[in-house]
Amino acid sequence: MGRIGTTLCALLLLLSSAAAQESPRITSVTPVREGEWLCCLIRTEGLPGARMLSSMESGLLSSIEIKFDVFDARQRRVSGRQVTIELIYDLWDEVFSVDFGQSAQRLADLEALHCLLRDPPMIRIAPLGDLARGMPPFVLRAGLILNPIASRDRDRVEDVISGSGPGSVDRRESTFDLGHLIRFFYRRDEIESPDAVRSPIFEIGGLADAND
Amino acid sequence: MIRTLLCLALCLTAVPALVSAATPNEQTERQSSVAKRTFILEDIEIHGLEGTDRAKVLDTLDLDIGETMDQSTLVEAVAALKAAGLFERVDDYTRPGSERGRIILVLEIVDRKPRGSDISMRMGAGNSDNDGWYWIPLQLDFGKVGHENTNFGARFALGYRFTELSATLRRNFGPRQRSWWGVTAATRNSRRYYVLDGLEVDHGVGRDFIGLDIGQHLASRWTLVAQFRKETATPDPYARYADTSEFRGVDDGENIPLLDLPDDIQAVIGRSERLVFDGALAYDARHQQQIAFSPTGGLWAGLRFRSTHEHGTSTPMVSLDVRSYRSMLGGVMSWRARGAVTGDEAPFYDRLYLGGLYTVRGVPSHGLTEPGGGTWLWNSSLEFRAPLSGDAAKPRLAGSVFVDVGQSEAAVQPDGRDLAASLGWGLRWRLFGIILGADLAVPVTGSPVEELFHGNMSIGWSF
Repeated sequence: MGRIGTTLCALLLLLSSAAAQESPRITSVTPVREGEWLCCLIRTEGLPGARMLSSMESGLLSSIEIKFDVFDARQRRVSGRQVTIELIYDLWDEVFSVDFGQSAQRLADLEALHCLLRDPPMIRIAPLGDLARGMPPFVLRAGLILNPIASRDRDRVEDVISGSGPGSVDRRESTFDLGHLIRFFYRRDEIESPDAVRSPIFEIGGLADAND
Repeated sequence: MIRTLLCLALCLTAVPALVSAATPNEQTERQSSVAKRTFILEDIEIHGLEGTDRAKVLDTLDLDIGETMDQSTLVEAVAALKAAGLFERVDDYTRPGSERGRIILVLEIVDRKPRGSDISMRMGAGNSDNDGWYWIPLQLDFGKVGHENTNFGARFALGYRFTELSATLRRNFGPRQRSWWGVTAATRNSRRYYVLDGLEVDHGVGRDFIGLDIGQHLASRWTLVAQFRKETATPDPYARYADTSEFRGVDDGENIPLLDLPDDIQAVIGRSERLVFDGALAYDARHQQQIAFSPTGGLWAGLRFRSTHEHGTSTPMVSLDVRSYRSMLGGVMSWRARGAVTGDEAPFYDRLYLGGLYTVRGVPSHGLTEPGGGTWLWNSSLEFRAPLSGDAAKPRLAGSVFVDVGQSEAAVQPDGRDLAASLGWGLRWRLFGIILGADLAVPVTGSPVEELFHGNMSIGWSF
């Protein structure tokens, strides 16, 4: 292979590496048990991603949402949890701060942030008792949602308080889309988003202990 | 005395629970501080536009370049753009601007081919001061009817005290689409409640109208709306008991003939055709950050003017409603004051009534004003709201303690006092995204009906 070929190979490697960097994703999902809790170890790559990093460097709060679902042998969802990880870049101290909900960590540089997000701390999913209503074996699915500009899923004030519009009387109404209702009742739990990652199937008795 | 003690006991039971659960976690505090941090929007970059005009996107976003804002304002604006349904997908992020404290908003859009119209079918429920609870079995919203900025909606609502069939056509126009005009046609039948000789009574009133609406968002916090309508009002020539009393020998639903109704109600029975001008100005400076579903600060005020012309006479009605919010002790202290006045010629179904969920909660709806209604009233409420379970902003369960006071012309005065007051506590529960509520209140100054306390169900907060 000549110099040109070597250069092309290096370029291709760089490009594929850059492409991987641009698409943050979960690479593995491993269920474990901690006492009476089903927990999860995940590994990711590409986080926080270029858009999120750009927003953080603007001084805005960004967030990563990870949605966990536990399915049983009939493909019915038996339990789950949504976890939000918040990320901030302090423009004055020039440090990153990552909040997993229970604990916050300050990180000196981007490399430390990459490391932490590549291998995040263990996450509690649900009490093992919740799985009793399902038919084993189970599978744990994890999906990633990135919010470069973090938004809490808030109600607008107008949606919660009566008579807020001009000229409105003391009246409150709440309506919802029938299409959403139909989808809610007729959804098929086994349908999964293309980015979601599944764990190997497991049974409660076969879970590795997180402390081992 | 017993009532007061009972009320105090209820409040004392509720307060420690509220305070102990109210402390928002550090995450919320830190996030709030970040969300409140302001920056200057230096530019907006839009990528991926195909068939849609850039100006249309900027109009929908409603952000000004050079404007100072916080993160929640930015989030609200982008959420409004996404909700407008113009695009298949909108991804948003920011880049640092030319200097610290300045940002550039970047929108990466996946445009979609224009469609003739978007139809959405909705259902829901509502609650109002006059009409009680009702169900909305069907509401149709047609987006983009004939023109991109024109919407048409029709709905049917059905309740124990309220039936409505209505249709509305609305078109936005002007810079940033901040103005609109529309036409509304509706036929309604609502059952007005009042208390007659210590028993709750409902009285049906039919209204049909067609009206022309105009409105404009004057500035970021001011909105002006007006409606000019031709209306027909037809009160039933009888009322019905809404309660059973073995002592009085009456059953729930039993008719009360016209001659047994108060004189001022008898006098206005019959079909009435009139022209109505209804205008309102609202000021909204409430914070979008919330604790226990309530704004953490700010002020809302609404001034309303209505003039009804019938048989050569005009009857005015003016009302002012002010609401203020302040976060404290991990919750929100909310305050409301309202005053309204109308003319002597106003029929009972246009008059003012005190009592119920939206005024003094310790008594039944409209129970503190004589059946014929009053020509003026004022009421004020102070309410402390706090999360009880779950996230501080969006708890699964929130609680409140409150005190309501009010006064009206033609007051019932159960214990001989001009001022009516009630004390109580309430809960708000989030179920499938709807905030359902219950308030229990003790009528400190007496009730026109025989009960120690009164319960009200609600959607969200009453103010």
